[in-house]
Amino acid sequence: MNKKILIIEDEILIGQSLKILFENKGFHAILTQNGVDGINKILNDDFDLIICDLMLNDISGFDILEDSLKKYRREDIPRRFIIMSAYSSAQISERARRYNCLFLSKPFDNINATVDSIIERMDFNKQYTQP
Amino acid sequence: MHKSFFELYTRQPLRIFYSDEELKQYFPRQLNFKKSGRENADLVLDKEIGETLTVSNPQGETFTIHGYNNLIPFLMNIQNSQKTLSELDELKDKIKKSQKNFSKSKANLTFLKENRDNLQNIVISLIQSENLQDIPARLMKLNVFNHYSSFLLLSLQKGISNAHVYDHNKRRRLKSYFIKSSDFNSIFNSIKKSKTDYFYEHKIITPNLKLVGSYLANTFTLNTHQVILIISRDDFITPEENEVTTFKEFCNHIEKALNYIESKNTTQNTFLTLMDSLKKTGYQIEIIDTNKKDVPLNLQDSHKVFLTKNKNFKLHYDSEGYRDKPVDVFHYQRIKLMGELFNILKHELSNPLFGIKMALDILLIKYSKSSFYELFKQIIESANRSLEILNNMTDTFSLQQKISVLSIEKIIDRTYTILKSELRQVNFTATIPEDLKSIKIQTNISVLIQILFNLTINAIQELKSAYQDLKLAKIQLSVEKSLDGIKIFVEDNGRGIPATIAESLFTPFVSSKPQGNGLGLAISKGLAQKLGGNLELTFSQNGQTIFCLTLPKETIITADE
Repeated sequence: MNKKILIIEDEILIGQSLKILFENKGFHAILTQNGVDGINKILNDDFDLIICDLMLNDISGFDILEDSLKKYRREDIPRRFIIMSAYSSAQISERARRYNCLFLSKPFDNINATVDSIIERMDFNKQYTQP
Repeated sequence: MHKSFFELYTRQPLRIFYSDEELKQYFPRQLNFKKSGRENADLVLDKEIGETLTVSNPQGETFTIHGYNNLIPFLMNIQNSQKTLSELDELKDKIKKSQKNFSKSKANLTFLKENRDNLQNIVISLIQSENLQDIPARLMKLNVFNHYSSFLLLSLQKGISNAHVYDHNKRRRLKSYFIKSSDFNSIFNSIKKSKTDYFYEHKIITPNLKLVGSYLANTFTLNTHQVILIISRDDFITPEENEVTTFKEFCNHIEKALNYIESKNTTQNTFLTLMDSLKKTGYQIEIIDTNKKDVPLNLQDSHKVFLTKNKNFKLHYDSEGYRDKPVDVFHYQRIKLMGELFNILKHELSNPLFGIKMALDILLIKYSKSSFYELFKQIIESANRSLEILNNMTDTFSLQQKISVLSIEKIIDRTYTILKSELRQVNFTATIPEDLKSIKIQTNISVLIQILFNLTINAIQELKSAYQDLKLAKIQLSVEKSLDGIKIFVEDNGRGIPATIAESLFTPFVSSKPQGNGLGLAISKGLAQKLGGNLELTFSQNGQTIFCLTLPKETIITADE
């Protein structure tokens, strides 16, 4: 079965592009532009990977991470989540670092390379989670 | 043999018994007893009690005690030993009833036995001193020190080569003199390191310090001063143990007071520092010390008075002084505002632009063979250029003091990018000699671009009012290497700068433009100087104006490096 990826990004062209890129690589990608909807999807569905923007229109990516702790253990968060943001101020980077997640700052220099690095990380996670 | 003190006072000879040890205690330097084998030696007090008292021992040696201040404690201590006169209470009574001279001896008793509770009050009275030199006089007036005659305060301010000595003595007026800081330090250290708490005159190394006999001393290290406090009875009687402990306790208490007094003294400095830093803000601010009532408060409508938390100071802000503000302040405000605006723009626009770019990248792959391929490519380029302009704008109008390295060509390119819309139709050329293209400049690039931006926008504004047909308008940037650095010329073919204005062109608020605020060039010159260079008007007449920005050679990095 295809790996499932959730993309939470309110900038429609970025979200759509990521969705297409992952689909082209054979993943099952779901896009939402809404943070609350993202939380619902995380809690009610199972995703192999969640790519989450920090600055959403309704809530922040950190809210999503905190709410996800209802479902995932804190130590599983880095394996499950990738954080993206256009605002890479020191405070935000520091806060993101506390979750230990891969942090992508927008704009990406090379989109394809970025997507590949995400996929690589998923492979790594797969190996990592195997007993 | 036991005679009353009264008799002693009335000039009757008195014979008192002492042990050798006791005598040694009072005449440590003068007495060199050979053990006589007897328990007691007897001393005869055979002179009148006034300023001096001579006593003799059976061996015929005589000793003189000077000053009634010394006599009383001397005699009192003999009383306390209870080997001679045993009627201590009776004696006390008699002292109380006796003449004024003896009232001072009461003070001695107070100092020794009763004054501990008064320390807090002493501190309170001391902190009323205006400065450190007042301290000895204030101590002298304290009852507890009534039987002390010399009060010295030595103070050395950090970094000053001479130490102040304020020497109060009951018998004469205040003497104030200097000793070398090296002398001060040796006294300070010998007192500080001493294991005993009282000292004799031979401990004082400097001959300049007028001290007799034993004394009590303590050192203090304040914020900016080192202080030595010395009190002495000008005699050789070893201070009593409880006298020493009381003095120590006293010193511990007054340390705070001394610190406070010192800070009072530095208020004036604080005041000046405050003035200084306020001047740097560029506002003309008058500070009125409301303690000085003679300073008039002529406040007009254009003035605002800021009351600081410290009610002693009022900040008096003169809005008319606005014109004297250094141009830096305007520049700072302008750049800050621009920077904030561009940051908002950058954040709001870069995300959708990035989305456009990303989406087009995908489309480009998908439609690589389509006739739209070129169109998509052009859209991507436009998006990239927009992102670049945004980045250039935010970089240029940032207040960061970043030093970076960039080739001269790129610097001019960036200036051009942000001025592109203004330069539309104007004939703009940038000439960089081949050998200078590889040269890189290491400086605050954003400041450098701000200067070029200002110069170019000035030229554009002039050209726009000079020419109806902008096709005739020309701006030329050129670069030249010179002995002392690199020169960047900004030349336009406008009407030139009137000679009357040219002289004061870089003075704030001087402008040849009716709408100009006269700050652009003043700011630019200030910025150029900040980069270690300069900005000058090299040539101006109708049809040609040349400004020259010089950057020091230290900023140049050649390709080989």
